[in-house]
Amino acid sequence: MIKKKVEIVNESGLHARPAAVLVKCSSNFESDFYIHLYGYRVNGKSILGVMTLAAEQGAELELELDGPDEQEAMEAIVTLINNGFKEE
Amino acid sequence: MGDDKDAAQNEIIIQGLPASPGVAVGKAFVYKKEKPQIFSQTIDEESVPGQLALFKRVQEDLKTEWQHLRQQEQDQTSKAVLDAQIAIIIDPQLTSEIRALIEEKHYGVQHAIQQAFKNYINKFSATGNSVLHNRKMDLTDIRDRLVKAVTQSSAPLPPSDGDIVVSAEISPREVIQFSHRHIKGLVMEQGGNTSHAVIIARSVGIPAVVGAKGVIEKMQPATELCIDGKQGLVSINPTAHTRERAKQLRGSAMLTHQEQQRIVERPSQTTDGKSFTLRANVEFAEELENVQKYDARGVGLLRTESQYLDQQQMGSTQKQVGFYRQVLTQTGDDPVTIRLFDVGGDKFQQNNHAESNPFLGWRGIRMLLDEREMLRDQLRAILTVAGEHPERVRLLVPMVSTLDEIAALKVEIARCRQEVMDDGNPVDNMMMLGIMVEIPSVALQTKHFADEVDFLSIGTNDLTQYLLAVDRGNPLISSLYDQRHPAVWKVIDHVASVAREHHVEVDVCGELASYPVAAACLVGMGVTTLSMTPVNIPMVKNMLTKKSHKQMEKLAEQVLLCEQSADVKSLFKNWKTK
Repeated sequence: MIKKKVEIVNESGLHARPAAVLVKCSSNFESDFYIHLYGYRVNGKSILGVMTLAAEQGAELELELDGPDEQEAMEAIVTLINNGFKEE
Repeated sequence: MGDDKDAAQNEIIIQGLPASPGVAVGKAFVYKKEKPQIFSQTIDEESVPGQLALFKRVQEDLKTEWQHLRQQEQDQTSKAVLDAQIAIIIDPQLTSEIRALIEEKHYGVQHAIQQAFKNYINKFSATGNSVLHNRKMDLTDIRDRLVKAVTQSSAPLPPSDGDIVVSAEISPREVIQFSHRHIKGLVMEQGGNTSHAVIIARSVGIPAVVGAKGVIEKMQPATELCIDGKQGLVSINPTAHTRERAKQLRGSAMLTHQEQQRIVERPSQTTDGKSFTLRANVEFAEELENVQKYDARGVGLLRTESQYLDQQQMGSTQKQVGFYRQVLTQTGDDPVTIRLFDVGGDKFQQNNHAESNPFLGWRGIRMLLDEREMLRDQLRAILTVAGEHPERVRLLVPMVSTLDEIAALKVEIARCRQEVMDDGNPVDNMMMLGIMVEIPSVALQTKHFADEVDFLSIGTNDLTQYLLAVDRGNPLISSLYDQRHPAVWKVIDHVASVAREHHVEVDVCGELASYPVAAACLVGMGVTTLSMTPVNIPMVKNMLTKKSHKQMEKLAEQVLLCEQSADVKSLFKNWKTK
């Protein structure tokens, strides 16, 4: 299992569209994916879970990945968040 | 919730019409055909896999539909919205929550969807985040689409063991399906007490009340009910007192299984050795096991209407043959009386002529002689099976009112018999032909009709309605409908004595035969063959084997002296305890 902290940089925060992008990305990997924020822990592959975090710009998420492809998954997710959820 | 508790203590009594005797206490199950289930209906263990599969299917379908929309979409913003919605539809967290509600809490799939979505909708509302607040729309939209898909793709949930089914209206087929699920009772808002559904309820021994207006709107999830099918009473949220009374009533009215078994095994004789014969009224193959269980001596009335109504057209000859053959093979060596298709023109889809008096209209043999092909299909089917089981099939003709009708039918029988023979099948040249005696003019002229047929079957249900001019399906006047009315007895006595003089067999296949004392009175009048819904046989046989034929003859003499229904009632009541 690996963990990493990352900050939301895009202006509108982690609302529906970015959440959908994040879930779509993380669902491509086999590893389990959880997000910690303000003491909550949600399934990062669940758009409803991610949306209920209501993470705004500047919020610091802790990403938790556990599984055979956790390294690649972490890399892809962190890149996505740092790019402000712009899909390639 | 305090309110619920208060409501549980308020007993509400609704007076309906008695439809099928017996009392029952149980949880109400509101059965609705098309509208979605609005109550938090729980399901039983065995329904869980089906509900899970149903959820998976509607989820997949909605996802496919949305993906298709997205492919056609050009606008980037709309694409993003659809992407988010698709992610919600297949959300793994939501999916596992819904599955858990079904698997662990035994929620019906609709209720599980509602509940799981509700949690998220509440969370979204609770945050101050306006973006999230607006996402609620996506959630409610997807929820409603899933629920709608479930409603459309699923038949209504079946009731569970021990439920009392409450419905606006219900079909005979559904009553049979529900009886397999061991429902305890049946309450209908509509209907008189002689609909086919009610006949089936009686046949399978399910207490029922009909015409219970406004009962559905008083239902809450899992409302307790107590029903009395003999009085036509429905008690919503019964008090301890009501339940206790119901328990006593059930105890006194019902024979135990052992008692029933003992009675069924007795020889069919009065105490002074007069023999009688009890046969079964049957409409569906599912009822045949009861014929054996209660040791009925064959089928005294096989109704064939559902063969038509099930399919919206009379089944082909071959299909009918299958049904009749099944009845014959499951009834040993006993006779089976098959009644020709007996409904009114109002049941035909292609018939646009609304009749203002369908019971006095184009029905029974009147209709069949106009619809020759349908008549011939049925005759060929009956004659084919009669040939396979010689001397067992008897043909019964409904709604005969003229001698010409019998003559015309005989021509058709001869013609169809020849066709069956030409096809190389055996035929039964001795097949007995009989008519229903249900129209007063026929009863008055029994002599002339007796010369043309082999047996007479008195249908007291319709005979009473025609004789007393009371529409038995009309709840406003159904209190006037009484098969034990003295005039009905006078007519039966006349038919029985004329039949005896002319050496023609006579039986009664109406409801009257299933009242134990009335049955004794019929035997006293010389009608020793009675046909009834099989579940009534033990009660009737119990009465007939406990009394002497002499007593019954005396009863028959006295009933003819009665002036009105009330006199008959008190006579019967006193006789029973004598």
